[in-house]
Amino acid sequence: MKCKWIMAGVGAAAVALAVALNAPLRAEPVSYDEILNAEDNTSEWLSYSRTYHGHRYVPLTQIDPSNVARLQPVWIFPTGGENRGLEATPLVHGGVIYMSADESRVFAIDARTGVKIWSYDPEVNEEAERVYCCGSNNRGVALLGDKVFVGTMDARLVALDKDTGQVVWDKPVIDWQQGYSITGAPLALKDMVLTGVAGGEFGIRGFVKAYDAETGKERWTAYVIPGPGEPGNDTWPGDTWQHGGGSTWTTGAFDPELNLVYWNVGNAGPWNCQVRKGDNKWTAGTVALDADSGEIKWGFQYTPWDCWDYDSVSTPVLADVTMDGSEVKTLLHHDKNGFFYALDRTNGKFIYGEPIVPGLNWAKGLDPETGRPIVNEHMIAQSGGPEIAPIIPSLEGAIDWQPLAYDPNNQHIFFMSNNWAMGYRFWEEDKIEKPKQGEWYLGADYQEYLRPDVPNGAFVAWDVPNRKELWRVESDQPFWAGALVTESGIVFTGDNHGYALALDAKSGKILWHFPTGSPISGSPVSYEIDGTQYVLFPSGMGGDLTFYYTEPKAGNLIAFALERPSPPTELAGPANVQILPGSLPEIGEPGHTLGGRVMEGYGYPAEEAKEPVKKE
Amino acid sequence: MSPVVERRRSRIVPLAAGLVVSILALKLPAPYADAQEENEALTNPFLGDPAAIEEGERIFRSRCTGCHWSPLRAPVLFQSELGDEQFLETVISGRQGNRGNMPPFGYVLSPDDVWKVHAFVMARDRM
Repeated sequence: MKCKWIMAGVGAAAVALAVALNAPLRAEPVSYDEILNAEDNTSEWLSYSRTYHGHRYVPLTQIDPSNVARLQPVWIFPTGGENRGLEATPLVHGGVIYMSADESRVFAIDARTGVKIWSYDPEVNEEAERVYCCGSNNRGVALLGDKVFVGTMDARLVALDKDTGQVVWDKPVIDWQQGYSITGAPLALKDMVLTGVAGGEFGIRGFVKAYDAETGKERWTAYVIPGPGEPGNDTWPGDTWQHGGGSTWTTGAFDPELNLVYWNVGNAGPWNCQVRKGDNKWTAGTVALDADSGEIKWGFQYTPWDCWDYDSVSTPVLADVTMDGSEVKTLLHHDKNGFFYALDRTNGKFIYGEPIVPGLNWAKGLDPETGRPIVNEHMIAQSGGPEIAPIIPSLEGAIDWQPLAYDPNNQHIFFMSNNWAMGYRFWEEDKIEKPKQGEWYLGADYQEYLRPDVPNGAFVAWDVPNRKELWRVESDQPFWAGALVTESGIVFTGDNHGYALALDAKSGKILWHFPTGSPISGSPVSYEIDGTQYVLFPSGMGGDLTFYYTEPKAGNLIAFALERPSPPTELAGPANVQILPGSLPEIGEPGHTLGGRVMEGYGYPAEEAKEPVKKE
Repeated sequence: MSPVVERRRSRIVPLAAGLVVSILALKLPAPYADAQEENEALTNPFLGDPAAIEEGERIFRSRCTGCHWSPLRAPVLFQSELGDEQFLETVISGRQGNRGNMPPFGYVLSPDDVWKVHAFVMARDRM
């Protein structure tokens, strides 16, 4: 009886597996038009920010403020691995989730069941670890056609067959030994895939590169630090532009009407700014690139002459905002430097900037016409001088790379904005060596400080046209997760205690929380399949917070819904456990250690042969 | 007490072992040779040597500072309690730490480079 039950179970599981596997295998390629028109496609999440304009707004209403307290886990997918930390935004297409994990690994997961379809490990060169500033994080993949694209820690861009995970092409973007790595999600548009690079602490010169998505052939390279003869090169003394940082380590946004790609640019290098006096274009700013040529159409620096490691790296939000009665094409950005900005995205002109961080002291304000900071000179360290402290915000920033969420109906935007301070001390200049082989290029030390006057973590809602804060949620630990907002008025994010959070978009009231067991450093997404709205939360602390906190190493993707779509007694199919090849062969089949040779006489019914295993 | 060094699964370990063996076999500075013969732990021949300390500081600032100095992504090494040989092995081969992996520096630093870094960190007061 028992045996029959097991067999029946296996049969049912096999059928369920076939159903589960068939659906994704039939999934259509992802066309550029689909990504372009993704706004109303609530069953998928096709690109890093869901849409090219970076709103992370989902027009779904099944989960709403009145019922979100019932949200429950449906399945959990562990990403395992040696390290930890999920900073990714999962993508969803054709019922399949595509998500990256640490060490640039990629997983394809059945969105209904949480069962792995395939996984890919780029086997990053172990040596490359010495050019990771902040862990082996990856923030996501891109989809286009029949391919999934991922950037690797050893600075390769890899195209995988989306249905099988097989490598289609694998290109070195640049020599990682010069300090480069890739942690950001690529951006696919038209027939191209674009990637930036990390390495602002290793003396790189940042760029964005576009590849033919089909073949991996290079299309264009846009250096975000101008070379000799290019406008802005004169903002770099001598040859400092060659190692000026300007990493492009997050994902850009795209305005198809203006044909402009907006990419945010990291800190200037080295940290010690005294050896590179000048504006250091376009570090700590945004560049607008012609999508077809990569030409820089305009640039705007939030922190010219960056003396505080103020990367500008959260993905830009492109919003058409009603201001003074007319609609303005804005680019919205919250910066490490503590100010929230609105720019005119057609030309890069400053519209407004408001301090979000209380006690911000590196600048006395912004020029109301140009947005140029009025710098507090006392907060600039001197080479060989004493520690300057407390500088607010610290180099961990009000925000770092974490995506904001924008509700276009109410023109409200939601983002984390942490409160912490730092001390900065610049080395004597004769102790700063130019990097030759991917060495650290800092010329400075820092110390991170907690502030006694305000809680460390804050998550803010901001009214864009009216330039005012709506509410803020505070935490004793920093926030380090992306945000998501739904049409029904819920903001999803996570905190460093590991709580997945649902906040009321109107009031900031916490409507639901779920302890995921490890801090949340990734970005939640939401989609609807078969009439069920899901919310996915990556859980597992990644990046800089691992410098200050310890927790159980973990990496889990957790799917939530109001109801589990199938009764809990019904198995979805074989889950994520597979027999190791050769470890449990059937009798007569070759195994790891023996060649499948079985003693003669085996297999006779016991009653016929007395001794079932017998050799004469 | 010194923390236990967890070796990573690693292609580098044989290489590092090879490096140590090669300095034992080929370069033959007396301390290594003695250690091999007597099966004692390797000791740093550069401790207290001012020129080595200066060179060690230079290497430390370019290779180690991002994690082991003020950012403190990893333990403070000044007045390290690791034994000399353990220090050498850890830098050459890397290790898996609680907050991420220490990369193997055997690819870019020679054992003498590592000894000099060690001489520097042992000459400097703990912060």
